[in-house]
Amino acid sequence: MVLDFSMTNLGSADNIIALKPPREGDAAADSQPFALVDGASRKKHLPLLHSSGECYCSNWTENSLSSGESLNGWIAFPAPTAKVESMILTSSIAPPILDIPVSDGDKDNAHPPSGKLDPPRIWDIRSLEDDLSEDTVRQETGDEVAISLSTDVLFAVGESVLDDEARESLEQVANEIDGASGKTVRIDGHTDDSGTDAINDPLSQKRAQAVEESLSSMISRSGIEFDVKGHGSDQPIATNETEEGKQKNRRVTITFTK
Amino acid sequence: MHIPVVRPLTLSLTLSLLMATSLLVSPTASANPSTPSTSPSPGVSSPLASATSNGESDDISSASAEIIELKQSKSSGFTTITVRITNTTDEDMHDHWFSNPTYIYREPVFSGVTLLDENQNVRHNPVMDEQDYCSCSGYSPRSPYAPFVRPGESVDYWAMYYIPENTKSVDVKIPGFDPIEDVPVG
Repeated sequence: MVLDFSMTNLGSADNIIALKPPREGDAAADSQPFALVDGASRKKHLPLLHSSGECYCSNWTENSLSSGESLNGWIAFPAPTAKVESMILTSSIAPPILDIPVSDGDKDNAHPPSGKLDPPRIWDIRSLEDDLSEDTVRQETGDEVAISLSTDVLFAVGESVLDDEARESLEQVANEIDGASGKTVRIDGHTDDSGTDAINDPLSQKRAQAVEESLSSMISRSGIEFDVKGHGSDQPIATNETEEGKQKNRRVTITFTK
Repeated sequence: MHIPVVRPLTLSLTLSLLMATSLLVSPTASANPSTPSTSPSPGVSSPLASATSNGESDDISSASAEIIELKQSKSSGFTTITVRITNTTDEDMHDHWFSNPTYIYREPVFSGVTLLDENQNVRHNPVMDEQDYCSCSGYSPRSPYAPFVRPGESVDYWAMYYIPENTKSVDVKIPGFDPIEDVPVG
């Protein structure tokens, strides 16, 4: 898939620095100054790179653009596995451009790569929502759902026996798992960074097990396997510098394939 | 009279995408199918909504925010917001002061703007990729990206969300500002 673009300095100032081509590097500024998003599958497509570290692109060399000056170029990306009608462009120089139509190109005029290419990089994009009614956090990719239940709701402080209130929250998750396709459900217990690993690690494991025991009795779909782990405070999703962040970290996360 | 200046980092992108059954496809001459976007967006005369800072943040003590655009993709729930921040202090205003106050993103960038769907009682944070990079301004902080707003100037920042496709309006919460209510999703 090729992105054909024009970059123009619309301002009055001269010598605005032009965005450089993608290149190999750990930082997003190197590897994904441009990225394409497939909205249907919620995937981000990073620019293709040659094994030399250079991009599979027109590799423009202009360093700056004077007022009114344009730069034309192209960048190759991994193609989506399914046919798509449009893609979204994110870049470091402009807000996302939505709904860019995808059309069939002319393979006879294709740009051949100048050498071996690195493996394509297509990454999941994850949404992050707070359900303020249920006090849950929902993270979702194109393939997976992860629902984090607050252990403040599920358990008494320091305990690993489920409260009565927990049942309603778990039943909602069980219903969603019944409607999903995945055979494996991951249950991960987490704490905030208060206390010691000697307390937090076994507490998070016991709480995850308690959720599994209750949840497994609520799920009506057969053949579900559970993968249960406790992580203590090692995998925070939020800052431990604020009380709200700590509360978000005190959680049991239930993850399943859609 | 103090007149804010929009930073002259106005680059536009115009583009087209081409795809065939293999990856080796040629960009052919074609009409530009998309509307160019710019940063900042020149010529935007009427923002969807605006607010002034409420003083809750010591850093963002005096600023205005204008919502230039809140738009959803026609084919998915991906939704983008563009906010023009105008710095009315006499010191630089850094993008990381607008980072998410709760959740961990890989870089402290413009991840703190959240969308509240009051009907569902759900708060949407910006989306992130599998290496926890926010899909928002500053995720790739290479020039000409502006990581701060100079005194008296304005910079347009953006963030991207995934919200249900039937969402009509949201309340926009920007760090340092009171919520801006009932902003229509275009």
